[in-house]
Amino acid sequence: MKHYDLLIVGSGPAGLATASHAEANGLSYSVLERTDHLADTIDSYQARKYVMSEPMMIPSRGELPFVAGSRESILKAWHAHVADRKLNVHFNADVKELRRDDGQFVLTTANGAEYRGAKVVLAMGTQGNPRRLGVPGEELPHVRYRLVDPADHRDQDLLVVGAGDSAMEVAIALSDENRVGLVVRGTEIARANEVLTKEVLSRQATGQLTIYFSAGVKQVYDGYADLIVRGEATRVPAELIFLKLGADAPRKFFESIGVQYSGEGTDARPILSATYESSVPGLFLIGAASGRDLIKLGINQGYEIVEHLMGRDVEPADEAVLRDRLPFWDGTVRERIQSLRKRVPLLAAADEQQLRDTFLSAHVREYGDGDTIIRQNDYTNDFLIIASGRVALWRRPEQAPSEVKIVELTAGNFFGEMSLISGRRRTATARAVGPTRMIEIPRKAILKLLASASAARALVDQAFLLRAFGGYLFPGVPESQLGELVAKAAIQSLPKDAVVFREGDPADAFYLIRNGMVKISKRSGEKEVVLSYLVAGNFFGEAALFDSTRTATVSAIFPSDLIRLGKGDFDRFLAAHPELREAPLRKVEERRIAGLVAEATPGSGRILEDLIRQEVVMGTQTLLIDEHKCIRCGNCIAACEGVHEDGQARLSLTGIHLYNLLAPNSCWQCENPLCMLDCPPDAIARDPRGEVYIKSNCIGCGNCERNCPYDNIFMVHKEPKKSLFSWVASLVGRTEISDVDRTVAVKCDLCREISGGPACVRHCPTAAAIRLTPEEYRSTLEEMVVARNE
Amino acid sequence: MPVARSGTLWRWIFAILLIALSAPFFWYSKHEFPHGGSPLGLAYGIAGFLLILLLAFFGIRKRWYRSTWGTLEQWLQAHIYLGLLVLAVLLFHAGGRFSDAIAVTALVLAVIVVFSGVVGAILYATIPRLLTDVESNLTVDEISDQLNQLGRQMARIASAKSPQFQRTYSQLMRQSVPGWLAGWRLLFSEPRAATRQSTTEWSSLLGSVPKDEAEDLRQMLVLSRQRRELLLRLIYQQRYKNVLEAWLYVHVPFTILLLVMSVVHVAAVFYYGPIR
Repeated sequence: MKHYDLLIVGSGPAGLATASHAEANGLSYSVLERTDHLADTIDSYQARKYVMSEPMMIPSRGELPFVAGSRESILKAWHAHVADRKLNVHFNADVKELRRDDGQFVLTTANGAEYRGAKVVLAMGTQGNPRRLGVPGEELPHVRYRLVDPADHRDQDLLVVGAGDSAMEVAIALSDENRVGLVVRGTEIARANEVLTKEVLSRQATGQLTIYFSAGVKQVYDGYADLIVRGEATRVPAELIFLKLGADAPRKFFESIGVQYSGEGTDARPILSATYESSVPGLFLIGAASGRDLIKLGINQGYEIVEHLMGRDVEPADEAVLRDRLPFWDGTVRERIQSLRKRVPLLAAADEQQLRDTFLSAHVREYGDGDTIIRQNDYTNDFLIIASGRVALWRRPEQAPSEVKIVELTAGNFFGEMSLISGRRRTATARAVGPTRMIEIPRKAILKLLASASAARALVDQAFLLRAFGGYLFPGVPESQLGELVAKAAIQSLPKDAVVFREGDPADAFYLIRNGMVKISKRSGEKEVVLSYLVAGNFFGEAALFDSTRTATVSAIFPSDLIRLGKGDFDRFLAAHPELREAPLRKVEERRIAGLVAEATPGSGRILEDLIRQEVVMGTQTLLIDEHKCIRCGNCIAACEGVHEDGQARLSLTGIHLYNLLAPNSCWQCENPLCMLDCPPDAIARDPRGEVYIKSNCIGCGNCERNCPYDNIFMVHKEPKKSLFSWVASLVGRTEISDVDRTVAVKCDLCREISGGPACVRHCPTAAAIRLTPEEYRSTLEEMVVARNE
Repeated sequence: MPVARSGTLWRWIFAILLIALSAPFFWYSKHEFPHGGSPLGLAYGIAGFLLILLLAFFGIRKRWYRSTWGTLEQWLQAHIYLGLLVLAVLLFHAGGRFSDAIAVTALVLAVIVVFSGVVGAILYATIPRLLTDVESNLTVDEISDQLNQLGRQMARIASAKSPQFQRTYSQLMRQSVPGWLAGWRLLFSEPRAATRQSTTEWSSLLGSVPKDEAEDLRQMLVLSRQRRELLLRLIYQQRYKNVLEAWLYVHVPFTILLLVMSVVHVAAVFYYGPIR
């Protein structure tokens, strides 16, 4: 029996990277692959799935090639690499047993072959261990764990079981051409990402697929299956059944060979050293089975293990990038992070690995005394941590001539949580006091950190509440005093059009809008009179704190999260701190008077109301066309097509009409851009003026197109520009098949790259097309509408 | 955001240029015999020719979407006022002498082009309002959807009825079938659908069908009236849109002819000298 330096279990990215680097270093090794092909997890992706190479900032080390691309292109590169380097891969070698014998590892496969090696790297992923139904009939051949190509199926009765991302993807892909049933265990789809969930639900609404909620599979038969739906048995046709229940690392197997885990829960990870060595000396664990399921990280782990075995010191792949990101401190990245954690409580609430991932996209900047860090009303949404120095926050109240200082924050504090949570403009201007160092973390990275570190999330949520409530009702009162009040607040999520309370209801609580938008209205005879609209960061119902009935009706006009503070809790708090009573009373009185003034001014803001009702006001740079000037020449659309290489017009002359004004369908640069919600490469950004644009790293997944409620995002083929040469070449049959022929998302970007502004406006021969910000709406619109009656 | 119109600016430029260009003409016409070959006449000729080229360039500028040189609205205002000016310049150039056949042809073409342009400008200023009114915020698609719906309802009512009923139904439906050269006729004549049915017609129609069908027929006539309203709206929408475009069918071809004739005129003058 041959003896190897290194036995590698699994031929996925981590295993192949280990093998390839071992080969390059002259180690003897063998890769044992369970199936008859390479990289089963990647192989089982849907045909043409786009595979990303996250995290982008980290290089992929070692010999194994890996760049983002289609499933096919990646597999092709790996096959070529294995053949090229003659890597030693044994297929159909399903490792069943691992034991130690005479200081060596002995691996036995299902077909009885034995392999001996000094070290073992387990890089087996989780694909070999999919979760099962555990019901009779599951072993039938028409029960599948993977969808090869949706195009293979047409006009079939299919069943998809699962409620995660991949279950949604399969159900969506199949429902184009087939009758698909989706079996979901819970009462709703909670685990999958929002875009997929929305798509699945909308397909259900249009009858393209059927979702069985609170359902499970009882038994599988040839051609059909018995389900239990809400406790009742149902028989449904099923020519094929796709099980998409997720997969687990084979923990039982790992533990049987002596690998120890950090805990009992499903998110527990195996205990590993810095070189990925498990509690069994000589046994290494990398890739998805070790809990890190990004391809590039697995590849780097394989490289590092071989470097370690060769006796060379190797620093983590992210070390150089992170040193760059945290430039003002000394020592290794670990030491720098340690010293930051000592000073910043928020960072202490996350572990080192989480912080390393977060800092990859962070920046540290130095500011001098008086420098502006963020500006009130800008649309930036970085989250900011004061590493050293001090920062003063200034706010200019509406219509006030000058700004007032709200608070001064010291090192270790953070701000920007308001924009982060509510998605709104900056509510204050921040300026450095003395030399100051800021850690600036982009929205997506901080959201990811907060999602994985619950202690950090609690800190940010609490700060949001303290500052919002404190700043509004108790300006000037130290945060420490308000803690007990804020602790009583609860979050309430409302769907679109839900009523929070009605006029005449008993008043029992006070609300802060965490995100979304509400409408405040009153009945006047038979008619509903809208008093105002409030967006995230605003309060309402404060009169309840001193009154007993509601004087108006409040309803959500978008799905909204509200923070509710009960009257009882508030009363108890004021009873304990009678000296604080003055400020909220004054605020309530202010609001009451403002409300009366608005009511007494008939017609004020009527146009604005109409626009909000029609949701135009969401836009910050809305295109409007004055139809009294528009000669219907279509030159705006032609200009839009003309300035974009893809030739796709971003606007159409249909849309919302208001008197003689048309708000055509073009991007409304929304206040809360839904398109930005779920962009895998984070390619949709907005600039400080609020303009939303798509960067060149779009992967064409189509999430934003589906997410846009106004159909203002288009998927187009990004065709390379035709040159005379390529045209001639095509005549003689030498057409280059370009790898870049894929779709990308495009939308109106207000012609950012062209000086002079949007082409549609510049090319309107009669100046009928104009672009307006909400602030300009009222005056300009009233002017234009009045002009129509002249 | 400026809702600026550059019209006022160009009206001033027009007035100033007109004065600046006519003053020398009146001065020189008092001192010598004005004609195209005199130094000042030649200067007017050159200016006129360059103006024609600049005006014709508007057609290119309109489609030159990447250009950031002014807005199209400014260009259009310039086009309108310089277009009026060019006629004056050409008349000064001719100096009241209209003997050269080529030159006169070119001048006639210029007059046609300018005149059609003035018509176009007036249409641009007036038609959009009328169009907005007939559109009343309904798109062509929405109208045709409603038309189809009404048609289907009428068909449902008419099915399995007496022959007289069915005949009335098909007559009503036929009103919406476009006739010969419908597109061009739209520009001028009253659309067929506009011919009114009088109430006497209604009552005679109602009398022509069996009694038990009268109520259904009345219902169908009401639907048909609604349908006609929508149809008229559609037709007028299309008519106004056609009107907004139709003048260009004169303006543009004659501009091309004018360009050709101007070049011929210039070439002829330099080659042969003035033909007297």
